[in-house]
Amino acid sequence: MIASILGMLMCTLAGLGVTGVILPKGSIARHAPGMVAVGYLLGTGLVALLQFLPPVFGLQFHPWRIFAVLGVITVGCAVASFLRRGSLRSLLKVPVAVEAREWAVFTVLVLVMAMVAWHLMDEAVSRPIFPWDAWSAWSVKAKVWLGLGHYVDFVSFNEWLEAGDPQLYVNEAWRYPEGIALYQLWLTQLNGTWDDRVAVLPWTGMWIAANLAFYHGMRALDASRVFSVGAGLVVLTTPIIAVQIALPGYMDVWLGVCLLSATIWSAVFLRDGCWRSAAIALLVLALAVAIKLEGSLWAAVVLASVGMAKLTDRGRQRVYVALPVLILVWLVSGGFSFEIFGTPIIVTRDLIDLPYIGRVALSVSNPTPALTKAFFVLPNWNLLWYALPFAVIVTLRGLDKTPVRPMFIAFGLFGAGFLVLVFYFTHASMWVQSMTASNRLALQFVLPLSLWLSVGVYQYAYARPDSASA
Amino acid sequence: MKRVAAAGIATFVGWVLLAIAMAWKHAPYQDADTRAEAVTVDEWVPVMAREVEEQGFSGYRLNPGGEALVVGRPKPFRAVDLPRLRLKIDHLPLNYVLMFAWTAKGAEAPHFVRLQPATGRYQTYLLSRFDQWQGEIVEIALYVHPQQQSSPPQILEAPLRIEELTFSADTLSGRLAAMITGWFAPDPWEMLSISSLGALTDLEEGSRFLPFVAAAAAIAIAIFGLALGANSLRAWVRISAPVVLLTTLVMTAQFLWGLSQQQAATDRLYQGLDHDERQALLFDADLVEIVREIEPLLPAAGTGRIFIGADDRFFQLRAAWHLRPHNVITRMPGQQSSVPDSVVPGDFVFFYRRPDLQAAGREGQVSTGDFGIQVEILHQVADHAGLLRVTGVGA
Repeated sequence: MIASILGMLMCTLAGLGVTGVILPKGSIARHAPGMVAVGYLLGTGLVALLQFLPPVFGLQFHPWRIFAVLGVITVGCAVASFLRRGSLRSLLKVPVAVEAREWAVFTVLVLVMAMVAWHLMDEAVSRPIFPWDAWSAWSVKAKVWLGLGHYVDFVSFNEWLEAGDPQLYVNEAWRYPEGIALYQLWLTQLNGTWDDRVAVLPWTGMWIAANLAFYHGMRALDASRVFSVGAGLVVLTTPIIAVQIALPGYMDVWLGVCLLSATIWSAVFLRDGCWRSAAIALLVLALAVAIKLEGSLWAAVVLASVGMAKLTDRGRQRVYVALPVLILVWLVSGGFSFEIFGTPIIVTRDLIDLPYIGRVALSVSNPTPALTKAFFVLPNWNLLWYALPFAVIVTLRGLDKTPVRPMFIAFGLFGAGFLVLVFYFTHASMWVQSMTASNRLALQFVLPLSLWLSVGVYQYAYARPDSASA
Repeated sequence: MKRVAAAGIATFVGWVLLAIAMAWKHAPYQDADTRAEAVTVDEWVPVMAREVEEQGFSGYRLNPGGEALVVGRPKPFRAVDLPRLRLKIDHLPLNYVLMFAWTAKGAEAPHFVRLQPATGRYQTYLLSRFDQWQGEIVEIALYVHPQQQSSPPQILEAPLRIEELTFSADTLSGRLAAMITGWFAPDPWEMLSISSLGALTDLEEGSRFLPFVAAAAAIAIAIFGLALGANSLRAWVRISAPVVLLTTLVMTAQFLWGLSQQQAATDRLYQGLDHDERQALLFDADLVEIVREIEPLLPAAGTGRIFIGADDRFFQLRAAWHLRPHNVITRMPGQQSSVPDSVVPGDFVFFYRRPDLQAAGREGQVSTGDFGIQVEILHQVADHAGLLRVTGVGA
């Protein structure tokens, strides 16, 4: 267990080092919480890469060698950061002058968060893996690879039956991306044997990373300390998010935090014109793709939102007019289908079949009652969905007219459109009815969305002099 | 600080006003006798499901999937007079639901409703929300029932222990008491699914906690805003933010309280145990034990294939999880495949809660539809679990 915790720390340090090298001079103190959050994410991605690549070239990596490589990366990046910035003081300088009362409130809220983190972690590491999908889908590959001592491929049921090869495995989730499974594999390798407690450790780290990312996002967009940590508390202690950490094994929070970080660093890129921030956003989006199948769709949503922000006002208007027209044309014409190098690309009224995403059958249904119950009646989300419409109105009035604003609007529209498509026009509506899909898919979207709404509310209500009020 | 204090006071006033308004709004039935004496059922007859299948519940057969039934025969009472059910049970196993059944005098069959009780604390249900709660109630029953996704552990060999079950009138004070017991001591989750939290039944009083809090927060914002003379959207937003934060803090505290209770229970169960010892305490510990028994009979992981047959999907998947890193498939040969099965001599079939497969194994032949394989039994447990080896293929 201790070896695994050391491993988590080391990979976070390596990720932090990479982030520090990528970021421009002088921005470390300002972005420190976000860097730690991204460091955690990128560290996870680094481990997955170091686990994945050597076998491709016929090599087998020992877990402690990966640990050593991460150590080398950490030291190398620290030295590179130091050389680029010139002095240790410039790395750690925190330019603050904060009132005592603000510090007191801030400290209380942070202590509340720490207490929540402790409770969540204690529950997580005390019981065997609980959630259905965790033991039936997400953790299976790591457990098999660890038990065998080498990688095997997972294929569909039919392929498995046809092949008759004992070295070819099958699993419900054979298509799922393997990013976190590779990370779980490394942590359990460090532990020596499979232990559920070790396999679920990364989720607590993810919750801490989520808090840091949220706080950084708020601060990077000029919110006050107390408002930033308060908004983070409101969002990240919602029961549906907290329970995914207390009973770990699902990937929705991971994906949500990737999207949260990607949108924050994209915003920094748009506002400051800093391409290094864009590079961090892209790396995080790459991790999102390696975590969950929907990751690629959400990555497309984020990239499209950034693209919209780079357009002129007239260009954006044209896109917003063209999109419904295109949808209408698609519905009237019946869609299209063709092949690229033998790979089918089908977008018809009945079926969408895209590379990597797979086949999605389309059909109209109305899961509104189930959605209403999930969002407004059952204790999943605290007051988040009640506050949402008001927050959207306030945010649209309050968000500064920087390139961040069109990005937020595009992200909100595209993301909401994606969820409406999934909930109302695909077979996923069945899972919405049984309340298995709606909360989890919404969770991925809610994390970045609530950051933008919090920023908008802050900018409208607190960041401007009274004369600017509506 | 004054603003935060005012928000706190306004929030509290909002909660109280709304609680009273809601309790008042849901007035008891007009034809009910609100002075009717409450009925407590404290004599229970434990009956196991098998007996019920043979003898029935007052002559009627209960859901045959039900287990660990207890039957009670209270002093007959009018359903309309006593619609509030107050219940406390000692323990509800993981992944189970509690079913409540009742028979009205002259009724042709009992009615059933699913409850969602937390263990070890009082909960109340308003049975008047259920259309069939009518007539003169003469007999009731409680039994736990596996979720669709799970099945019984050995704990079901013992009957339920009911610490209190009382029917009472639907009064204003009763509503307020139900709100307090139901809303301020929720479990952090229901141990059913982490994809959606909270009670899935509308019968439980207090299941509408969230709309209540939202309405109370809205009232608090209105009180606070009017008191301070808010006259712009910006002022209203400034007032709303601390109210929402304070309300969320209350809800977080409530959630944390439930979480800490859950945490204590989890610690009591698992603290100080290593991985294997913890597996032995799982709700499917018997399956874990059987997998350990057959492990020496299996080839090294990655050198053989194992088909799994179980009586439901949940156990197929659980067996697969416990058998990993072996190469397993969660289906039987010939089952639901668009390609001909490539089952070959030397493959294995692990079965669980399938006496039919045990019997077929003894005869040396297993058939699934028109698909047949010859097998030999390598290991068997009781009359429902074991391991078969495929010796030949073809009907």
